[in-house]
Amino acid sequence: MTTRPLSVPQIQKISLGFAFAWIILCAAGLHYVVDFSWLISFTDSIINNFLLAMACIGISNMLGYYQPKNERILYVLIITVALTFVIIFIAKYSLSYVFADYKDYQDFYSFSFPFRGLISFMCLGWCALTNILWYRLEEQSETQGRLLSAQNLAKEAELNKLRHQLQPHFLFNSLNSVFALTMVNPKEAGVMITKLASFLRGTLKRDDELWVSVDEEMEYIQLYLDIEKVRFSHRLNIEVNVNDDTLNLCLPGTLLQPIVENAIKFGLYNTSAGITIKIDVSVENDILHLRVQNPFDPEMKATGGTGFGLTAIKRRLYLLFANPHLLQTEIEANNLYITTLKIPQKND
Amino acid sequence: MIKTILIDDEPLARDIVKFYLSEFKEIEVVAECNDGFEGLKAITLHKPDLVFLDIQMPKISGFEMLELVEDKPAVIFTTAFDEYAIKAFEVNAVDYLLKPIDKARFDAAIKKLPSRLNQTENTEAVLDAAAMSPAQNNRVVVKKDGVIKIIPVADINYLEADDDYVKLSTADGAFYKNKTMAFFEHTLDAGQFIRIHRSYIINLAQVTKIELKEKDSYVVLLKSDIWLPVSKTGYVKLKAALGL
Repeated sequence: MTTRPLSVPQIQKISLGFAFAWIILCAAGLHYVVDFSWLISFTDSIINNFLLAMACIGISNMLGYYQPKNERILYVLIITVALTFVIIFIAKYSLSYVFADYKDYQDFYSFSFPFRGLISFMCLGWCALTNILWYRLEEQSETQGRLLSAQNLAKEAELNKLRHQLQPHFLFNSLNSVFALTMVNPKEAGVMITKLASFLRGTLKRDDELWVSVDEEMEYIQLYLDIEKVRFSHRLNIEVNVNDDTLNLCLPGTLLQPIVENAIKFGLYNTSAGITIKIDVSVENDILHLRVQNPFDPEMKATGGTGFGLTAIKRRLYLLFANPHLLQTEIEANNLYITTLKIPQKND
Repeated sequence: MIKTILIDDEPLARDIVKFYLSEFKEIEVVAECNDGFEGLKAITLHKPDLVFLDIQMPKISGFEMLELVEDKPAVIFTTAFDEYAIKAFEVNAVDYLLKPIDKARFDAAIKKLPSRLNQTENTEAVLDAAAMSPAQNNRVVVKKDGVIKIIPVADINYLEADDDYVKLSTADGAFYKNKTMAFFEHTLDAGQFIRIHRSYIINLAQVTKIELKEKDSYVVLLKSDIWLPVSKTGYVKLKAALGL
C-alpha cells in the first residue's frame, strides 16, 4: 500500500502553513498594490486560493488512485488544464456575484483573469508533478522492499534445507555415543563410525530429483535405524518387512527418512519406555506403499508440535506429484500412529 | 562428598559423564535418570548438590524439569545442539558441556564447581531465557499434588497474580507457577495474551464482552463466565489487540 503524501502529518502541516501564508500574501498584494479594501482583498484571495487548494488535494488523491502507465504527462496536462478552467470560472462567477456593485473590481478582475488562470495552472501543474514524483519513489522503495524480502526468504529456505539435511542434533548426539563406545566397547565404536559415515554420505547424495530403488533406500534407512539403536538400544525395537517384489521399485530419496525420523521423534523421544517401530513396504496396483507405525503418548501429542516434518513432506510430495494425498496418517485405537506414503511408479 | 545425579535419555551419554567422574573421588553419583519425570523424583529424594542435565529429553525438557525443582542444585547442562539454549548459557555464564564432551572442558567445569555449589541465580536467568525459546513457549509445565502436568498455552483462560505465584486458570482447574506476571507477559505470545490489569493477563480467545462499569472503569467477561477488571492502560491494550 502506498502512502499518500497528504497523509503524512509533516506534509499536512507544511501545506497548511504554506496555504495560509499564500492567502495572506495575495490579500496584502491586492490591498496595497491595487488598492482594494481589506474585505474585497481577503474575499478574493480566500475564494481563489481555497478553490486552488481543493484542486491540489483532488489532483493528489486522483494520482494516488490511478496513474496511466503510458502518456502520463498528457494525462496530467489534460487534468491540470481542466481543473484550472473549473476553478477559475467558479471563482470568477462567485466573485462577480458577490461584488456585483464594485465596478473597479469587476474591471480589474477581467483584466487579471488570464494571469489568474496562468498562476492556477502553474500551481496545479507543479502539484501534479511533485505528486507523480512522490508516488514513483514510493513504488520504487516498495519494489525494492519486496525484492529484499524475497531474497531473504530464498536464503532462509536454502539454509533450512542444509540444516535439515545435516540434522545437527542427530549428528552430535551420535558422535557423543560413538565417543562413549570408544571407551566401553571400542570394536562396536568402529562399526558405528563406519555406519555413521555411510549414512552421512547417503544424506549428502540425496536430492529431490533423484529416484532410488527400494533396496537402496531401505539400506539407508537401516543405517539410520542402526545408529538410533545404538543411542537408545535399551528401548528401541525395530521391525522392518520389505516384500521381495518391491525391491526394484523406485521412490524419491528424500521422503522416507524424514517420516521414520518423525516416527522416532514422536515414538521414542516422547517416552522413556521401550517402543517398537514397524516399517512395511509393499506394492499394490503399481503403487508402492510404505507404512511406518509408531506408538505415541496421546497427552504429548496435544502439546508437542503438530509434526512440522510431515507438513514439509506433504509439500514436497505436492511439488513432485502434484498430489498431496499421497501421504496419509491415521491413529489406531491403542495409541499407534501410522503414516502411509504412496509412490506411483513411473512407467518407463 | 558431593552428591550428583545424571539425567540424560541416552545411556551412553551418561556413561561418558560417569567415566569422567570416576577420577573425582569426592563426587558420588547417587542416581541416573532417563527423563525429566524420573529426574524430578530423584532430585526430591536425594537432594543432590550437583546435577548433569540434558536439555532435549522425552516428555519434558531439562529446562522444564528444572523449573519444577524447588531447591535448585548446581547444574551443569549437557547438550548436543540447541542454538537457543547455548546462547542462553553463554549470556548467563552457566556451565554447560557440548556433546561429544571434551575431557579437558569437563575437568575445568568440575574445578569451577566449589565456588558455584550454593549459587544458582544464573540458572534461574537461563530458565527465564529458555522459556522464550520456540520449542518451549507453547506450553507451561506445572506440578500439582506431586503430579506433573503439561499445559498447552492455548488452554490457559487467564492468569492471575497471587503473592509470589501466578495462578493459571484452565478448563481443568487452576495451577500455580512460581513466576512473576512480568515473566508471563513477556514470554506468552503478545497477540494472544493481553495484560489487562496489574493482576490479570487474559487469553484473547476467551473474551466474550467488555462492559463499562462506571466512568473510565471497564470489566471483561470471559467464556468461563468470569468477570475481570480492566485497568485504563489495560483497556487501551485490549482495544488495540481486538482491533477496535
